[in-house]
Amino acid sequence: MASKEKRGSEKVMAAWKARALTEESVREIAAALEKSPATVEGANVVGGEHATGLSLSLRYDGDDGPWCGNDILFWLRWHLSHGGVIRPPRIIINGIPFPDLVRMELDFGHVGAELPAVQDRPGSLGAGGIGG
Amino acid sequence: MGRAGPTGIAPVLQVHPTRLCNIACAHCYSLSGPQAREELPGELLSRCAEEAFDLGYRQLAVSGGEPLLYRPLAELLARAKALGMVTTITTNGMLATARRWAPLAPFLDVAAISIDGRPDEHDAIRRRDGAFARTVANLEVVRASGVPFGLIFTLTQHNADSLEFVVRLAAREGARSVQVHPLTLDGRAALTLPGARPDGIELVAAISEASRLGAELGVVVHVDAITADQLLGHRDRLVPARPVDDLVDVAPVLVVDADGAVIPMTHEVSHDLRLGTLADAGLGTLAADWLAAGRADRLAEACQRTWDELVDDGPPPAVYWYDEVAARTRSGAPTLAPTPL
Repeated sequence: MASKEKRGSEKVMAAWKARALTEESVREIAAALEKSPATVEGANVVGGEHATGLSLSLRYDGDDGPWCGNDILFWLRWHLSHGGVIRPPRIIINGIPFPDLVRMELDFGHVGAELPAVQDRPGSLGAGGIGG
Repeated sequence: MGRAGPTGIAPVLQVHPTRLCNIACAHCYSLSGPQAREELPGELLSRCAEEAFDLGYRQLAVSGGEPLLYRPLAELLARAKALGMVTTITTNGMLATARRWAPLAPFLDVAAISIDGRPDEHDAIRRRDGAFARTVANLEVVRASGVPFGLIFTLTQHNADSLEFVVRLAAREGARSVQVHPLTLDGRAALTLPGARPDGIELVAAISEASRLGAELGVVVHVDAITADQLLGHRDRLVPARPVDDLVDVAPVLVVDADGAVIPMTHEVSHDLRLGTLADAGLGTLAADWLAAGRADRLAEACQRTWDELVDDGPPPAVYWYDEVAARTRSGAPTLAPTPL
């Protein structure tokens, strides 16, 4: 176990930093949104100062609906370049057979990584749980 | 302190019926292994479980050694189940073949299976090549039996980063939970892993990872440690009121070792605070004598001293409470001097 000389917490911290969104990766998202006809209805940054993920709510009106496929393609490519947890986009389509409104939520990076307050974390006195 | 004990769970009778084990892990706190022969008679432990139930213990947790090598295990679990106790075992899983597992399954509420990181890390700490592969292959037997199971991970100073692998494995294999137990430097662990006991920083890193991974993967991840906030906020649950009238109030976990020694709280508690041995008397008698001799109050005093010292010194980010109390029972403070029964 010679490779285990480092503290576990140092390796955990390194992994956390590796998950953080880079400036470049955020610029790419901004540039893609510039090109897209979608309206950004909401944006949620996860991780505060050291953001690890971004959740976007997008809206496509009328003839712009099919464009959401281009944005999904960008979203997939972005994850191939920058990593993260791929959660399928959540899409709501209004109007059949010709959609007049498409709503889509896209997560970039590690959106599930937000920590609750320390008092809500799963610590306890021990010697309980499954192992007795 | 309530009847649920400070862990919020039912008081636990933790039994180590044998030190016989198919492997000799580096982190073992009981010096178990293939050459160890110490073992308690099944009848003695069944009587102990009955008396423990009368004293308020509601969970029988069987560990070892390797519990699957203890021949009367099914009878012991059946007896405890008939009493109304929740039954659990902690096993390395390497011997959990269908033939061994089938007789136990009807009497088992939960199985805890030890996984200590990625395959290479696990095999290294187990000191057996192929241990990981064998354990994981046997999970199918456990799953097919319908017995709910969780994984148990020993946290050291160096492996908080491996927790992610273990929680992902749990999610993939259908485990309900992962329990993170800090390494105890006793038995073989004291010889082979000195300096590997996780400090407060590692504990809090594990708690943070547990929270992140639990939310992401839908697995309950439980760390046997408390944060500074929890320490400060729950003094009443950590420090039993004196005089102590009931054993469960000061020893929500009661350990029975393979030599018959009955130990309150955790293995590492000072020898002079042990209740005695089952070879000398039944658990009910040992408990009554122990309470009458004021030893429960001395253990409660150690809890209070632990809390005071941790808080006065500026609490660390997180602590393994029982380990902290045990260390203070061994520190030779005047209040903990041996008292003859």
